[in-house]
Amino acid sequence: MLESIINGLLEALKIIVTFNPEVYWVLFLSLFVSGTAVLLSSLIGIPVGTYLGLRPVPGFHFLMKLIYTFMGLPPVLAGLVVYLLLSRAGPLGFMQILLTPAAMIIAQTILVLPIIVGLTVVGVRSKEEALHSQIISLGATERQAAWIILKESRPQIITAIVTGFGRAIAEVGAVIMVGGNISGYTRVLTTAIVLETRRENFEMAIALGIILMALSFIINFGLYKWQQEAVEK
Amino acid sequence: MTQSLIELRNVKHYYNGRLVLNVPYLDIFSNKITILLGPNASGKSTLLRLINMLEQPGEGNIYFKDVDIIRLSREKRLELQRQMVMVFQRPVLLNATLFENVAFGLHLRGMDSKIIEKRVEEVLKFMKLDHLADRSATRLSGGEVQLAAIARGLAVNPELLILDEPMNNLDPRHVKLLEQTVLDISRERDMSIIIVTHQIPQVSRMADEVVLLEEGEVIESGPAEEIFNNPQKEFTREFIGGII
Repeated sequence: MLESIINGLLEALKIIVTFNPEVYWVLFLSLFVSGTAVLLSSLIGIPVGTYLGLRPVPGFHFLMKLIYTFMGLPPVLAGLVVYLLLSRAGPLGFMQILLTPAAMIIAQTILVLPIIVGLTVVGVRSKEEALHSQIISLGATERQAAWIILKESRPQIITAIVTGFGRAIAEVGAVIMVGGNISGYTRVLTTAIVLETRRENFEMAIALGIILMALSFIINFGLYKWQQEAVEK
Repeated sequence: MTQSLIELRNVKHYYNGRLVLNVPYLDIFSNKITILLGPNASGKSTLLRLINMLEQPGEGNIYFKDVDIIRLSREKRLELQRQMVMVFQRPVLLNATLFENVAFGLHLRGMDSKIIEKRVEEVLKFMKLDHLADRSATRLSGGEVQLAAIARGLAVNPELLILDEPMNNLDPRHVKLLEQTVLDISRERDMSIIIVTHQIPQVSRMADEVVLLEEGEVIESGPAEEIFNNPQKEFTREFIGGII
């Protein structure tokens, strides 16, 4: 086993330095699918989470329980739902995007969106409770107060994005169901690892795993730096 | 003649249907230091929130400079609210430098940056915080945060400054500094000040007026000297004697 890990490490280095086009495509697609899903989820989830955090709507607590439940949504279930919706007989079958990167982005967005909404609500809510009265007392209008609370919630919102990205990049169940793991088209790092493991090509699987971890580290390194800048500003 | 800055008439306030404040009549006077006293959960903070227009009373009227603050247009409400500032028991500073925090209320009012700079420098100097101007608020000690929150309130030069247990996080040196600062503010700036405190010796050192609350009701109010020398109620005698 130790030998496989060492060989996997060497294989990973070889893939990186020799610019293996197939692996680089998988790497690019992983980034593209997960990055787009996180971007879409952020564009929808941050405004929704901010709104709910600032102005709890009727049924807020029930809604939060629902969001928390969806934060733990099993990827295969998300994959199944998207598969049924996009399959030829499904209501969105006319779009003909099943087994494409677009379907994978939709599935990952469904998984990431509740995380970004939920964590944004919690972050904004805690800032709202701590700051709202104090800001209003200093003479802010409700609009000014909302903007300041949002700005002060930046580290929490970045945490939501980091967590969402972690969920997306590590996810395998949904993308394999709706993407199909097609070589050179819908194969991403996680589905490639599954395939190589099934082929008992452990060195390659470990190499891909190391690349996945390295990719995740680099992105989280950047996000963490961004978050620290927001904290220490 | 002493003039009323705030008048409460038949004010009742409820939380979840429970009566938490019942004040038939109370005047807070201009250019005085009024100290609110009372045991925990006696309604002091609720009273402050109502005066600061952060909550509307369930019943009754509150007048600020003869204007009923209950039924106001949004613009008029903001205009009046900007004449008073409350420093909270646990103040929270923004994620910015001390200078930016103190400038915050002035920015909200859309003031010119040169005026803001001059005003903030003046207040920081007055509060003896000028050496910390560029320090991030996250790196201030508890006592410094408390003083910074007061400086933030002072910067907007309010007519009424409300301090909710401002000495709580302070060491004796800072308490002394803050007491002197409050007395200076009151003397030099013609500012009305309401302070909530539990420290009886502090009341005798600072208060012009005292309001004693218990279970949401005003037990006794009046000039500090009268309250201390000639308390009318048994509860007042016990409270200022430190029994309660």
